[in-house]
Parts: sequence; C-alpha cells; structure tokens
Amino acid sequence: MEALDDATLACRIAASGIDEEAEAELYRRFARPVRLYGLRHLRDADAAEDLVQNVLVTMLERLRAGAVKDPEKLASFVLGTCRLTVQNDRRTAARRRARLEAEPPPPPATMGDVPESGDPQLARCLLGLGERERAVIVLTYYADKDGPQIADELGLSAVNVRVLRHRALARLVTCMTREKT
Amino acid sequence: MSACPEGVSLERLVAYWEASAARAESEAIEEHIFACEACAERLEAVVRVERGTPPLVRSGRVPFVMTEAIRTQLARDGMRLREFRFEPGLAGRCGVAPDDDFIVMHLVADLAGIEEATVTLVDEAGLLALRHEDVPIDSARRGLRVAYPSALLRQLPDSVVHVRLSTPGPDRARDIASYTLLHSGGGAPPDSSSFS
Repeated sequence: MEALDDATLACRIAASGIDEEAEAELYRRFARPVRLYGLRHLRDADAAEDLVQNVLVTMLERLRAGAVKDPEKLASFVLGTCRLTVQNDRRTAARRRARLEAEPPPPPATMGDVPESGDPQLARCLLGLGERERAVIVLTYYADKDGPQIADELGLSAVNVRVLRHRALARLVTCMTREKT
Repeated sequence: MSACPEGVSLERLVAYWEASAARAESEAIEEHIFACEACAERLEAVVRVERGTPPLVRSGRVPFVMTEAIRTQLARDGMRLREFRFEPGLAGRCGVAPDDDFIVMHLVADLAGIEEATVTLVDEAGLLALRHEDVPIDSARRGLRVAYPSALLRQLPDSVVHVRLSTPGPDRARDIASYTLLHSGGGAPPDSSSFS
C-alpha cells in the first residue's frame, strides 16, 4: 500500500466506493501535513487535531463519491481544503466573538498534547547536544529569545548564534527522525 | 527517514514554520510538505523541539547552563533556584532544601581569553560522574553556571565531588581550575543564595 502513489489509491477508493486499506494509507500520509498546517496557522494543538479530522473526512467523502476531479493532484486538493476550512473557521469565530463581546472570555485552551513531564525522545536527543548548542535551544524555545539577545547572553556574535542554532536543530531533527526508523 | 527528493533545506522549513519566509516561499513550502513525507517528518520534529523544550526544562529532565534570561524565565514560572558559589582550589558546601526546584553550581574562575570550557565531575573514587562539554562562558568571563534538577540531587547521599574546569588545547585539555563540593544529603547549608 505504501508503494502506491496518491492517484492510484484515490482511484481505488473512487472505483469501489470504499476501500479501507487505501483510505487508511491516505489518512496516514496526509494527517501529518494537515496537523502541521493547523499548528502553523492556528497555533493550537486541539484546533489542529480538529482540522485533521474535518479535512480528512472531507477528502475521503469526496473520493468515495468520485468527486475529486484530478486524483494526480490530491495533495493540492487536501491543502486547498485546509486553507478553506481555516478561512471558514476564522470567519465563524469572528462572528461568534462579535456576538459574545459582552460576555467574559472563556479560559484559554491548553496546548493539549505535550505532557508536562516532557517528550522522552526529545530529552534523549537534547542530552546528545553540547552545552552551548543546548543553551541556544533552551534560550530560543524556553526563554523565548531571538538571535541578537542570545548572542548577548552567551557572549557570541549573532552569526555564531545563527550557525549554532541551525546546527543544534539539524542534530535534533536527525536524532528524532532516525530513532523512528 | 528518506531524503527529500528536491533537497529542500531544514533552514527553509524552519523559516516557513517561524513565519519569517516571504509569502510566495511559505506557500511553496506548504505545498511541498503535503507532497513530501520526508519534509513533513522533519518539520514535525522541529515543532516537537519548539513545543517540547519548555516542559523538559521546567521538569528538570535535562541539565542546562544557567544564564540571566533562563533564570528570569524560571522565576516567572514560579521555580525556586538555589545557587552555590565555588572558588577555585577551595572546598564548598552544598545541599538541597525541600522546596528547591533547581540547584545552580556557580564555578568562579577567570576565563579571559577562554572560548570553550569543559566541566568534569568525579566522585571520591575518581569515577566520572558527569561531563559537560562546550560550556558557554558568561559574558563577564567570571565563571560559569550549570543548573541541575533538585530531584536528581536529592537522591545523592553525603558525598565529596571533585570538579575540574578545563579548556581544549591543541594536544590535550588545559586545566583552568579545580573545586571540591561537599554535598550534604540532609538539606541546604546556611550560606547558599536562593532565588524564586
């Protein structure tokens, strides 16, 4: 199933009306980019998960109905559905906000899926960094400092910090993706 | 993880994620991650670093070098820090009070001209306990600070720890200073500084 391209899987679903294996594979392929799109544009983990459900259900329904015009461009269709869904949700939210202006705001939503004890795989990978690299990561993502501020904290040049940050991120990404395979 | 067939760099993915890329570039990267599983996986890892680092710092799952900015953020998060200052060549006491979240080891040293430091901790038997490489020097060059979670140190009994501060040399490491830490398993001694 993994070796089949998107268009082949899409045609299988359209031909049979429902194809569990093909649907599961397409769901697996697109859940991650849709979630990333949701996190990037909505900055909320729960909202991103809702987006995954809404967009992929729409994708599967349209495929079953044979309503995706160009299966070769399924990825573009899914991305377009993401954009439209987020746009519509923002309009709905804006209208709701306008109606609820007189009422007290609800408590902020939690970010959801990162346990307070932390990501064990990320912890292992962070331990593999040198202290300077780890310091740049902590200053960036915990203390919320930008490059020039980090340079000042650590007595480095801004260029050094940029190089260190890129190197540290690259090592972390390699570590975290390698452990999966 | 397989490689990206188009060779899209991690830098471009990060710029997209941080919204620092131009609109056309952002849209191009967005389309790409829907078509490239390798890049979606790499971007997901970046997101996990961004979102996963704060809980790991707060929970003390990773040691880190203490700077003013990190100290400020820990204080905002309601964390209680206790710092112990150690002079070169001398023995100093340290311990952990029940409500401490982090213990900061401040090694005083003249680090003028030093770009990179290694901190090595060995126990009384000479066995290596911890090693911190490439430790950043504070901008005043008057020493460095490393933070440890109190939960880790509370497990230690009364013990003597020898700390060596060195810098890499062309052939071998060059010693800068050494310290002796007298760790008390029964709580913090009176001459520590605490911050919250």
